[in-house]
Amino acid sequence: MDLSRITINLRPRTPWEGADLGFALARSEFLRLWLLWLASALPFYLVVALLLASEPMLIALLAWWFKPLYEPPLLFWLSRRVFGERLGFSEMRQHWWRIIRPQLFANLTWRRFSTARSFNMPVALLEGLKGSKRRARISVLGRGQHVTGWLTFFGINFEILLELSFLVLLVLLIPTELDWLQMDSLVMSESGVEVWLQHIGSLLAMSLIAPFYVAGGFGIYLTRRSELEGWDIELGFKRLAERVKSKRTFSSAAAGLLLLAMGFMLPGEPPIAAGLPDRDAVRQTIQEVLKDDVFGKREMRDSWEYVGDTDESAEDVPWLLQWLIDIFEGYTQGMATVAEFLLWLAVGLIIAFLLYRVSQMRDWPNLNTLPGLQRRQPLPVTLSGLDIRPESLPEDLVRQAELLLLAGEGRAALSLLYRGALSVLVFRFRLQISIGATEGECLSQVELSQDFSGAAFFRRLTIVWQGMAYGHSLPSAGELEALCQDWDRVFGEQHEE
Amino acid sequence: MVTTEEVDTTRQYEIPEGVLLEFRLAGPLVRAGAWAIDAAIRAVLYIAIGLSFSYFGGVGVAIILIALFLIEWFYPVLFEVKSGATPGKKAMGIWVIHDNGTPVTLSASVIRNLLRAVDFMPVMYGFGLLSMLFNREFKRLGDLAAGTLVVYRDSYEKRPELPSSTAVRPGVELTESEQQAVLAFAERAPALSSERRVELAEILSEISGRKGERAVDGIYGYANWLMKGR
Repeated sequence: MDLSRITINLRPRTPWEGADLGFALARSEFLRLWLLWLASALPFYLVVALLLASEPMLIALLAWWFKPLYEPPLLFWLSRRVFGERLGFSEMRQHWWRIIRPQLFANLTWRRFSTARSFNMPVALLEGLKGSKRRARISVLGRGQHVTGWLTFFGINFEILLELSFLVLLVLLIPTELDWLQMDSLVMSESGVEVWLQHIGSLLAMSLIAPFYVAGGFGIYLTRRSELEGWDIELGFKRLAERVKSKRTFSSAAAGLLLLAMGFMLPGEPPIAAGLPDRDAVRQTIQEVLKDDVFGKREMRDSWEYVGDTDESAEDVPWLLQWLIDIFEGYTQGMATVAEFLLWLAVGLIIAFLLYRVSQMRDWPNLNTLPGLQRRQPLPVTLSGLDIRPESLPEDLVRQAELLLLAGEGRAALSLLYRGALSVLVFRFRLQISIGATEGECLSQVELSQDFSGAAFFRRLTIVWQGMAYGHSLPSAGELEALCQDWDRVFGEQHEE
Repeated sequence: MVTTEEVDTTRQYEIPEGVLLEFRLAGPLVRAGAWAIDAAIRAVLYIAIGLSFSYFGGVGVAIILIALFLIEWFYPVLFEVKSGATPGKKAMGIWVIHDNGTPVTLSASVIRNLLRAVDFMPVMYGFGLLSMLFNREFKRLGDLAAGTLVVYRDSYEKRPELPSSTAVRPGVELTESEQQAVLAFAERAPALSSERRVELAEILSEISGRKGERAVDGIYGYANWLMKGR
């Protein structure tokens, strides 16, 4: 073992970092290691598959169980790689049996259950120890190396999850319409194409993880040995010794030359001063380096550039003044708040007043009518469903009513009286009664009217009429008689002005 | 055979002031451990909430669903913004930072945690795991989108007591890494076997001119000089 040829950076590491070192090693040489693993695993797998074609589960189990058979070549190759030697496939093939044979039986039986397989492998394979020596060596090396167990534990998990990932990815990538594969049958099935896909998946997963597993264990092993034996110290000392040696030979040769040239030499010159360059030369070099833009530079610009607002108010104000300003500012701000409140209050009141006014305006159609337009309104021809045109009424209305009353037609007589009254009011007294007004509205209109004095009678008539029309209560004949006489007195022709 | 650069899991970032920061990236294994712890904490929360609100009928179900939603999506965000690490990450000694080493901000944390939905696909972080295994910086897709790193948190280490020895100036000028090697020897040699100690120390007998245990003592002297001698 020649440490000066080592190709890993030796430094104190934790066991976790040792595993990482192995992983880095495996990654940098992955393709070779992968092919090397497949070179032993694939033939074995195919032979087993041919022999036990009817027992797919057994094939998978055997392929997994015989892992210690495929791993030693990887370790052997890595051990040479660490010291700078990349063995070719032909060399590996020559040594193949010699590499895997040692302690193969033990590896495949009771040692198969070891949780530190990849860590223990170098002891047997590279150090060639057997029996109690091997056990003693492992107990020394393995002290405090629980990471090796975790490496195996997570290695198993990585393998399982990679296999599942492979299968799930397969299902995900096949369109569901084709329905070639089902997730559950792919994972659970014990026959058919699914089982062979499972085998491919597990073989792929094992082959992917194996280089990392072997290299990880080897990395922990190297780290541990380097720690126990001071490999990094040895390497550092050897390099130092070598440097000193080469320097000595060089300097004695140079001294000889000097001696020849000048005839004398300074034997005790300290090595520090000898190696130092000229002070002025150093200064000059420093100046040259500092000229680089990286170390700052001067720049002149002759164009205006906006640099943002300059806030001058806060500058140069004595603290007392500042305090007063703050107080005053607070005061004015308070006042402003009150004023704002009052303003909003006024706005609210105005809006409330306007709403109130609007709600008071009940007669919406009249809102837009000007007084001058009122006369142009057409005179109603019917009111409350009664025809009130003068031509529809008899000439001597009261006489007609009295005749109807004698004939016992009190209902018709009252109707005639009411129609007549409305007709007279609208067409003779020109009372403003809108089309579609009810009896009550007619009455209130009459009572409001200044020009007409018979409001009291009209009120009586309306009540009686309403009582008959809606209440079916016909008044007595005497009362109707009185109404007829009063009608004549109020609405009769003689009262016409 | 010549090989490429030395394999390591660190990432370096040079800040504008010219200082080189170094982060120790956290890999899938330690992150899976942190996730498992967080998942356990969330499971306990879910059970507690589910049990306590299940007696409140329809309203209780609504509260349970809202709580589940909030916890599922914002549990990591809350802790990452607050202290850079969820309780699980804290327990594993890792935390989340930006690519340039600054503490993770709200937007980055929200992005990296919303994208868990993508990392989770097809099942149980299948894509996230593949991304972490094959990314140079162990980033899952959410980390790639948010520009974040998950790294080991440097703890303040107590300076170990060096084995006492008279300070001796080394015969040659030592570079920084060589000084570190000398100090590392002085710190860790007491834990090594005596044969190994001597073996290591005798590598430098060319410089110290000593053999055996005296060589070990000589290097202790160098270490003491480096620590406090000048």
